[in-house]
Amino acid sequence: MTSTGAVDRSVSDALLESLGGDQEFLVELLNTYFEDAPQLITAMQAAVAAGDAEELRRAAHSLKSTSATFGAMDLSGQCKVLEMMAKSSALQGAEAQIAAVATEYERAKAELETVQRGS
Amino acid sequence: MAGSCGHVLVVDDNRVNRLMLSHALEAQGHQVSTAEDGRQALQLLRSEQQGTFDVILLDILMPELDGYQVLEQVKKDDRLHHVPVIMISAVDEMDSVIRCIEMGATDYLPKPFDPALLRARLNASLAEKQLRDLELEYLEQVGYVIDAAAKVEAATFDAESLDGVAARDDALGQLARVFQHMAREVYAREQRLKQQVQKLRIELDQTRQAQQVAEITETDYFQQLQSRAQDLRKIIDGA
Repeated sequence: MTSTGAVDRSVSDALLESLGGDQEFLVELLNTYFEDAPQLITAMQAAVAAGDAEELRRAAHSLKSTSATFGAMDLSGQCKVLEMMAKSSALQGAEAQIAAVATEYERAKAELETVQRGS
Repeated sequence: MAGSCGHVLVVDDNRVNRLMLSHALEAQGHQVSTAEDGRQALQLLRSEQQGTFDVILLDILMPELDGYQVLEQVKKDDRLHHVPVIMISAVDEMDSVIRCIEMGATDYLPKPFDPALLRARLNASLAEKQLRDLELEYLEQVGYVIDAAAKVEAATFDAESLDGVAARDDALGQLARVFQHMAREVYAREQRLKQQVQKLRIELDQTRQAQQVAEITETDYFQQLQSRAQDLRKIIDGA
């Protein structure tokens, strides 16, 4: 499968290299990411509903950080926008931004699954 | 430079980060414990394992207690404040990192993690911690020697109590060995004096007994008795 552009392969390749080429461990890391990312998106939605800017900031920050680790730079950037909104307590438009994050996550996930398969 | 291994506490609410750091640290030979928030980290640091952590890798944004609060608590705690804290931060969090270093953090580790940088920063912090531990141990042992000096003066010193310090191969160890040597010399001299006193006492008793015997045998009454006894013996021999 060709790259969709959702994942910067040079980052994911460098990550695998930094893991000593341990593909099995990379699979474990990505599985953890696939489990936690939807929970973080849900936590973002709940935080906006509760008007909790601090919790929104924390969840966006966490997803921004791990997404960048795997090379999902667009997703990381979307999360950063959300994090900045939360940091300045400007929650207007946060719901739409979370929707954008969720969409970008699905795109990144699809490509990361190919990384997981080593293709 | 190859570094020594230590017990590292990784505090991060992000599971992927905890896994990656644990994996890299274990590969470098360290023992790793993890906490997923600040509260759990402080519980671990203050539990029975307290004092066993050589370095803390601490994330900033966390639920419950965040990295600032954990750092503040660690630095306020007399039994924890010497444990080096390396902040885990994103590259765009420099303001937070500066604040943490002003609060007493030793260093920071940018995300995504670079194993070579992790190794270098951890080794530097471990070396600092080991130096601090040595310094604390030295000061503690200086205390033992000062205590021993007071006991030597009060004649209550037990040479074996300084065995630990005397095993050192530096000047402090030499001082401890001198104390032990002095104390053992004093003890041996004391024993020799006791034996001499005992011997003198026995000689004195014997002289006193001989004197008493002489005092009795030299009296007129004793002489008369002796003469009478001789007479009686002659009569018996003649009969």
